[in-house]
Amino acid sequence: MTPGDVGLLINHPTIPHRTAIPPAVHGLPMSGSDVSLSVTDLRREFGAVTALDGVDLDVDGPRIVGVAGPNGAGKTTLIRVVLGLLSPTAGSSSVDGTASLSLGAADRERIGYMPQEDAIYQDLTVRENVDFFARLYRVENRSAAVDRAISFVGLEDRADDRVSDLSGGMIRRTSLACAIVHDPDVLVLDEPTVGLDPKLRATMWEAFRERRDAGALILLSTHYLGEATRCDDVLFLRNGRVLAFDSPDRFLDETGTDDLEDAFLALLERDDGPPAEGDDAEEGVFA
Amino acid sequence: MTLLRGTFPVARRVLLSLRGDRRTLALVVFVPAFIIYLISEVFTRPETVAHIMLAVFVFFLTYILTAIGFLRERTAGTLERVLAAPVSRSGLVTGYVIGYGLLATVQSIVLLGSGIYFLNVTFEHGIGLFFLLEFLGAMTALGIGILLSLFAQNEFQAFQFIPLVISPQIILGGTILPVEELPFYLEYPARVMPVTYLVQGMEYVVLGRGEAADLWIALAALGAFTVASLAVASVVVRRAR
Repeated sequence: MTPGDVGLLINHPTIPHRTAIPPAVHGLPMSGSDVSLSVTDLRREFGAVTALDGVDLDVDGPRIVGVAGPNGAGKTTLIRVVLGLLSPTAGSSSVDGTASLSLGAADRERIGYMPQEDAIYQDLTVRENVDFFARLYRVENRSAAVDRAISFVGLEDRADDRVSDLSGGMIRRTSLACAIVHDPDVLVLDEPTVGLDPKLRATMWEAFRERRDAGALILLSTHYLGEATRCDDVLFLRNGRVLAFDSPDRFLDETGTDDLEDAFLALLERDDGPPAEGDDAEEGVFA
Repeated sequence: MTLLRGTFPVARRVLLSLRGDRRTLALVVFVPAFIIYLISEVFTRPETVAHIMLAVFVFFLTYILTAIGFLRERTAGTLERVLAAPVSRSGLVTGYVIGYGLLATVQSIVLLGSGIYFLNVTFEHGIGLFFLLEFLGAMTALGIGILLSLFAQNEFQAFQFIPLVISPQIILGGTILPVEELPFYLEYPARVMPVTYLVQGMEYVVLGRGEAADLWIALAALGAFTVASLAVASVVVRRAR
């Protein structure tokens, strides 16, 4: 499959559209318009290093799209270009039909971003952090929205604790609460579950699916292959190039394998013969 | 107003963060008083150097405060996250100016009080003008602190700017030798240094040296340095690189 085919593979009929679920059920009302994300022939160089090399991606409607690949594959660069935080060397990207570099305040209000670093304020409490982002996004009924975001990540008991007193997992959850407090339609998460224990990871995934079912498009990067299985579609990146883009089930069908680890190895082999040493997928984690 | 979108949340956040940051609070409140006290102990006639000390320390301490504060925002990844939000770059920088400006005001008050208490400073042209000058000096250091921090990758690099950018000003800015008495190849550089104007203004306000025009030039120059450094900073804080 080439990256150009990807548009045909999305919009699975089994995925409930946002209107199928009354927003009130989730307590996280969404705004009504459609969500989409598009990347065309994207290239980004950092000096002599080519971080992205001709990446295409088209997503339309509420989906969880995983960007998987080893460290240095270009996952974070792709995310930063999509958000308009990095300008591409060539090619284009857009969110909800607006070019990434032209995203205005009204467009940005619909986007939530959780970076790979903690990216929250150590000297503030959980609530103050979430409240700060709620103010930046000019959230209406702010205190209710802040409470909702905090309970969404299950930190009600620690809401008034300073971030510097929290565990790593709690910091990640606070960061997620900051990314969703304004109820974004497009949620971009860079390695959201890295360093979390399996139970917490499962809780986070429940949260992602809940948001997807409420109508959000979620783009998340991961280097856990087991985690990529939970996405609706997975974009495999290697050395800045798209190795494949498909649903996890189709990957298994296509490659005749039982898990994504084997599927990934099969794809590598198909791409360039036997896998290079650095590409081994050990214990479900990219080397 | 879209031009200043994000200003008040950012200013509020800067001030809230301080509550949990005792070291910075100490840098603002106790360190200036302590330094002025030490100076009063070593100089037999501190009133002759007081105005220079007050000028130099307000500049130096405010620079450290803002350069490190803004750098932390960048290295923690929060700056990028804030830039992904619907804020304007000028709104972000203005938010910092208001937040750190309030801190710099507190610091100026502490320096002023310590100057009066420990150094027996009296003001030829009134305490109000002194405070205005001190405040503008702090704002200049604030603008330069934000600007230079954008060119530093970590806190060590922000400190490396001190010998490069701050020390020459402290040596040449009319502190040891009047600017006019410097050789021409040092006089011209000294004329584009904020500390020169801060000291020039202080000499008029505190000692009554020079004319009123010297003060107005000093105030105008400091205002211009502040606006220019902040304008450049707003341009340099780009969303996309």
